[in-house]
Amino acid sequence: MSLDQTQTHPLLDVKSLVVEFAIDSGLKIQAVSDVSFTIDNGETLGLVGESGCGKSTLARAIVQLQKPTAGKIWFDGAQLAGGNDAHLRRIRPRLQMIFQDAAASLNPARRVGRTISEPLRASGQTHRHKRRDIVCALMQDVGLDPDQIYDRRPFELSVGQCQRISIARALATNPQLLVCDEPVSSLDVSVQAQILNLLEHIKARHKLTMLFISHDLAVVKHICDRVAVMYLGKLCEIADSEDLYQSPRHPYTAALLESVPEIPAAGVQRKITLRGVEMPSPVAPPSGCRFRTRCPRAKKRCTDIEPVLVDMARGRQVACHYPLDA
Amino acid sequence: MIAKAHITPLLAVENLQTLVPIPGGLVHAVDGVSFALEPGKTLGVVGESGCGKTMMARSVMGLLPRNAIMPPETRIEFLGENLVGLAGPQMRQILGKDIAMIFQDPMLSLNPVIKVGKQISEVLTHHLQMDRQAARDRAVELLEQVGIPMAERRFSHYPHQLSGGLRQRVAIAIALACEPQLLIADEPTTALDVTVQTDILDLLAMLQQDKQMAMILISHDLGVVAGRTHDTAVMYAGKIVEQAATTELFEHTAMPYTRALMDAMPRLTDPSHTTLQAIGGHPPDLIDPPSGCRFAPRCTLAKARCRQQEPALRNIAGKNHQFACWYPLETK
Repeated sequence: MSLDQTQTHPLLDVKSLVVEFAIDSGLKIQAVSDVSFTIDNGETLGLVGESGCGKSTLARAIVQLQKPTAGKIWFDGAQLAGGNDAHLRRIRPRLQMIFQDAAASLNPARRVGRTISEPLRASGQTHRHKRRDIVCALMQDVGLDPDQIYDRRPFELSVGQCQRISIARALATNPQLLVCDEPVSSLDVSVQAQILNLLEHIKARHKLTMLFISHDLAVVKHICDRVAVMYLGKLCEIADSEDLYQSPRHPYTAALLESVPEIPAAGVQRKITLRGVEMPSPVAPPSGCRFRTRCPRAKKRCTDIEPVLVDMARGRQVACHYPLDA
Repeated sequence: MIAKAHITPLLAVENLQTLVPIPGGLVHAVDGVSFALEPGKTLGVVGESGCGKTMMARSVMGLLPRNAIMPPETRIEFLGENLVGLAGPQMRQILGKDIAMIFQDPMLSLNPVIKVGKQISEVLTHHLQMDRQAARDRAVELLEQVGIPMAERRFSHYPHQLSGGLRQRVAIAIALACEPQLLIADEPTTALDVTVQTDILDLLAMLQQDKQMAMILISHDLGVVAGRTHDTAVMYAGKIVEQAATTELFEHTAMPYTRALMDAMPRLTDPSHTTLQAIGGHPPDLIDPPSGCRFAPRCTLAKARCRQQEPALRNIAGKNHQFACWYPLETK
């Protein structure tokens, strides 16, 4: 990764981020609870965890679709959360997002060419013909033929084509950070492979930094340089992807990895068998370590004291009192 | 002969064809599928969306759109009886009792305004004529059996009060209530997290072994099928294109489409940033499928013959391994 000489800070720096939602009867749930991490320029960070662990809320808070309750987010040295609207409007084009259900994230009544040109208009490109030229170039970039596709509406396209359109729309404002929230989860393996290859291609071509969210660990390994594992609103482990997959240190990471069905079925010797049926409710998270209710290694200390992320070798961080051996 | 009687298939499907008329023409959703399933065995069915996996399962269950057509040569024999053309009341005697199905999205397959316990006991009172109290007790027992904690309390919960994993467990409890001989599971874990997926698949395997139940496991995830089935059938454009014992199929793949599906899958063992082998193009139009092999337009190994002549399923000598390809991959 070649860094600019002028750049000494990470592109994205999230510090102690908290996102709370009020639910019935004055109760609050912390969907994201004191999360800190950074993403360097040109890096792809993966974010994995089960549904309901707060992955998507975290992503939405980063692109400012969701107001954080506490904590700070710096983007390229400028503070995002808490900044004023005019400031946000200037920064937003540089932060873009793509979503899981591409067809649902496109306006069904609008021709897709217009959908892609909308962010250009919003960010000040007033010349109509110029916009059309840029849109056509973007379509070619994502592997679509503008002559065939420009005037289509989303329902006339396949899901793979819709995801390509939403990628082109995200690229329209020339972003630096692309947040991808489960972009391939609803796709067949054949199309999934196309979209993953496309993301790698546009990342290189547009010099992007990415936050890639997925519940599929094999997909994340393919596309990410570093991976963060999230459980019930907190990060439990963050490490270089090869390191994380080779030797997970947090029992939860190990449990996730062992659950992935592979070919040939290796008859994986499970080291970690989760206890209990599922994730506890975020309304009343367990005391101490949030994972302790399902962790086969939990001891008394895990109930009493909440583990924090501790630095380990090779930039790895783990939040566990009794991590697995390296 | 006794030995022969022992391996009589529970389900024998022969030349299954399902045609669905739509405004643009006649869709050949399932086009000549044949297979047999023995008691206690699991058949995995894999393929891309739209390849006919679900329509095949629904054809067996008789859960087809009203206007769907099954030509008379189609035979679906369950315990020797042809289910095709069976009248509604007779079919309802079998469905839910001898053959049960679980679906991908339990939120859609469960009734949102009826308590989950009631949805289980209903099956018992209907099919087994149990009285209300007995059915209730049995329902609680079933909830426990599928691993739902505090089953007594969960009995009076509505589906929306349960998580996705618990809802799928309820759906399984309903399906297993009458101890069916055949369970059709259509993408039962696709909507669930990997950890929950493992639990549900383990649960199905355990219950299946207990009850010697046969199962058809439909999935788009080859990994799920690889570890959990005896035999696997790969479907493409309404047809079975390869079928064998699961280990044989994945170790000695003959059909390029099966290989392409495997290569497109990201693996944990690959280093980061490995370029995936995507399958170009789209599955064909099932109203007017291409002549020749239906995979030929997307196949990197296709030759002239593939575009002209359709390959039939044929056997690899000495093995129970069938494939439909003129130029099969080299089998080791």
